[in-house]
Amino acid sequence: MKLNRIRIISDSLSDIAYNESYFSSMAKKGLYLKSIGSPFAYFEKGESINMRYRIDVLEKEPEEEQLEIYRLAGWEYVCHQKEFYVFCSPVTSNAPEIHTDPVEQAFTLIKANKQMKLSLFITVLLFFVSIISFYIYLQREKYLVLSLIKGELVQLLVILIFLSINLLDSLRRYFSLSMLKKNLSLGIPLNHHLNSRLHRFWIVIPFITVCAYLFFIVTVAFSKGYKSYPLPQINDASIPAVRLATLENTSSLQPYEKYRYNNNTVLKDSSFLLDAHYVISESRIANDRTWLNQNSSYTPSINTIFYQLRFQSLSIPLAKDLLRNYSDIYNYNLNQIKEIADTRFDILCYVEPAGENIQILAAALNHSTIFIYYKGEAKLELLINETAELLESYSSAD
Amino acid sequence: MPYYGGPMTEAMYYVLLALLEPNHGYQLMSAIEQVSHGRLHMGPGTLYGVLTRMLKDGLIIIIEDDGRRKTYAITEAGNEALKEEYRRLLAMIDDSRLLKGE
Repeated sequence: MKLNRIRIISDSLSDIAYNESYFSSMAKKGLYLKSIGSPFAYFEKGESINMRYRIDVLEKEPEEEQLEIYRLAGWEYVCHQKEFYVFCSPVTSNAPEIHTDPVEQAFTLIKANKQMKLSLFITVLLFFVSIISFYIYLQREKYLVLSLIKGELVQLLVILIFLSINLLDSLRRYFSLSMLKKNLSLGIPLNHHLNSRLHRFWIVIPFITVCAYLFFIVTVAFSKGYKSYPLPQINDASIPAVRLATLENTSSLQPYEKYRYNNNTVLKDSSFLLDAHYVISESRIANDRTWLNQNSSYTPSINTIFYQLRFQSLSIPLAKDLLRNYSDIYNYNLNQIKEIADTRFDILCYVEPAGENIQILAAALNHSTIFIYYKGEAKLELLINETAELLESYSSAD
Repeated sequence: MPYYGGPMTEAMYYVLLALLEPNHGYQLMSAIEQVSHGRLHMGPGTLYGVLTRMLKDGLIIIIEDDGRRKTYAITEAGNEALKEEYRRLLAMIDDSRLLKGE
């Protein structure tokens, strides 16, 4: 029996005339409506038959006596979606219409029309709230590729598109039902023979709804939980960071926990656009060495943000956005950002001068993008060489 | 929309008229046909729409409900409304003498 069942994305039943014609045209193709949900309608395959379908709006679930009277009048109950009840009758049975008085039929639409008005109001409200949130977000987040990578921009855009389309759909359904109610109350009977082909365009709405749900499922499926663990003291190839041990000319580096947020940790997560995202901080102290221009112990630190992207095309703009984005935090001007032509990278930018004993750079190669903030006395050239080596090793693993 | 007097729909008028004798569902449809001398064939959707609305407006009540079927009857308010509508229709007919050139 299940093999005889097919499901088709279907529009809401509130557009009464179009749905009646649509179900009739399906029955002509040998597909009988069996049940309706959101967004699918289920049809059963059988012989082609001329069947009339009527949608009656009932305020409460009909009792058996009421259904029996419909049946005796020639109308079999099929299914319902909320207060919209579908009945069918073969054309050959010549059953009288379910509604014989348009003015009375208009009364049956009052409650559904009010509910639709309320739902339209909520949709309009949500739409404006999302427009305002989107505007505020764009004002705050100046760097779109970075916002895209963080995932917020995509989610906001999907919500906005989803709400825009739903607003359009709510407007369409509300005005269609209001117009029908108005016509009926003027005594103009419902046209049961509307061409449903054009109307089928509106199934794009439930289709987009399904896509939006799928999108969220996919983004959740791709997002791996946030993991935080201590940075290993020795070089560990699984950690995509330039380590202080390779930059510093001393062998006596010990973990140094001077800063509250700079505690030699690795933070790792992933998302829809990112295979992996690392934020790695390393702080060390060399007790046998002092800063060249100070008497205090030498305490180099390096912060690395590493992105393994699913789409290579995002890696270069991301590197640029990272340098621009961190200008406020690390206190430099955008005109201090310089780009160096280096064949080992797709792009290599650094900040000049970033400050005394400070080097800041961002680079990309294939699917990888890296941002490094280094405080120490190693030369920029060495930092670039180590970065190139690191990106190369991750690039060959692509 | 509650009924505040004024012109009734044809369906309302005939349901009230048929309910001068308490009746239930399908028989009510036949009763309406009888009362209208076969002129009015009321669809089940229209019938139930009118019954639901008039129950809310207090023009009719359910006098018996055995779980399987309900018996409806006209109320005092329904009777008054029906008479009022009858008088309105009579006045209309009276005014229509112009048509006959009386």
